Amino acid sequence: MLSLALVPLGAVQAAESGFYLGGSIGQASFDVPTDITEIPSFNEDDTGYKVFGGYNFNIGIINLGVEGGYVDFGNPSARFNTAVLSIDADGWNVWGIGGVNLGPFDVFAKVGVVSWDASISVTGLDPGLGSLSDSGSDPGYGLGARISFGRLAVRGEWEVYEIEDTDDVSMFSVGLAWRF
Amino acid sequence: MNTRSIWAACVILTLAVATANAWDPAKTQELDQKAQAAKATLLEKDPGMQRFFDAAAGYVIIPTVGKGGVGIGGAYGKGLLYEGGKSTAEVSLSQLTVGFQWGGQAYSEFLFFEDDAALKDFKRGNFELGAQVSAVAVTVGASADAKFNNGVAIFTYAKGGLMYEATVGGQKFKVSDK
Repeated sequence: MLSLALVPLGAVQAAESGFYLGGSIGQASFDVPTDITEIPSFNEDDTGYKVFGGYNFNIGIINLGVEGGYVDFGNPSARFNTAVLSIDADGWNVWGIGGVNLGPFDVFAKVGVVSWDASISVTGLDPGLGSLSDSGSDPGYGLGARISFGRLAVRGEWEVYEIEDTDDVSMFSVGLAWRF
Repeated sequence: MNTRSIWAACVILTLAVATANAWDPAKTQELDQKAQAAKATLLEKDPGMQRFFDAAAGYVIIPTVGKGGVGIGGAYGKGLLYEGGKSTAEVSLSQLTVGFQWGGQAYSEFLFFEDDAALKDFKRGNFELGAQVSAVAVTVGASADAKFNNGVAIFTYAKGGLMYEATVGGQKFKVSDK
């Protein structure tokens, strides 16, 4: 809200056509099956962030857009006695976005692809398991809503990433975007 | 409890701990039999592998490396280190793995050490294979082009007739003298 107070705001209005850049912060959640006796599960959260840019085409009440960006899922870790499993993951994504204007708000859905990298480590076991790096490209989808004040938009969204070998990787975030 | 009883209890406890950690000849013999069977299968698949047994300063045979079946898991195995044709130490392997495998995976693994320096490095303890290290999946003639890399050559073959290349990068080895 502080940010909103510091910028010249226009009247609340529906989304318009144009390029935009933005950033969001939120909570990334990982639910990953494990096959390690000492670490029976991994269902952890951490703070994540993302930066993004895109173009929105406004046609009447319909919004269509393309967006790309970088997402950092944070570094969630789980401890079971002496054993600690940590995941450090980030990625680049591309989305196709479709939505509708609903008065001052607009809601949108998106589908895309994330190209991700992850470092996984297990410490505190004997014999030790060490660490490994993994990467891949997998689909994702999301839902969100935004409200625009002139060139500034506030948005909240929920993204799900269908990353291989995981049960669930998702991120809920809120952020700001500036239309040029 | 008098002093004599306390000393007796300490002696019994010490013996119990020593027994628990002692080298078990029966288990080592069983492991040796499995290792020799794995070696025979390896030579049956590719007789050319004999040159590595002949030339190496030492080698490790791990008859079975078992890998977990789902998500983030571990691969584990126990084997023996051979020097001059005789087993001289027990070797345990562990590795962090990721990825779904139908029913898990099992394979045999062989490490050959080119010279005494490479062997000494392995025996020093906490030996770990770099992420970029790869193993040769044994098929007929696989040994023909195989070479030592940084003093070590690694071969695997899948058990149960399945064909796949085992990922060995990141494997950690612990050597326990007999």
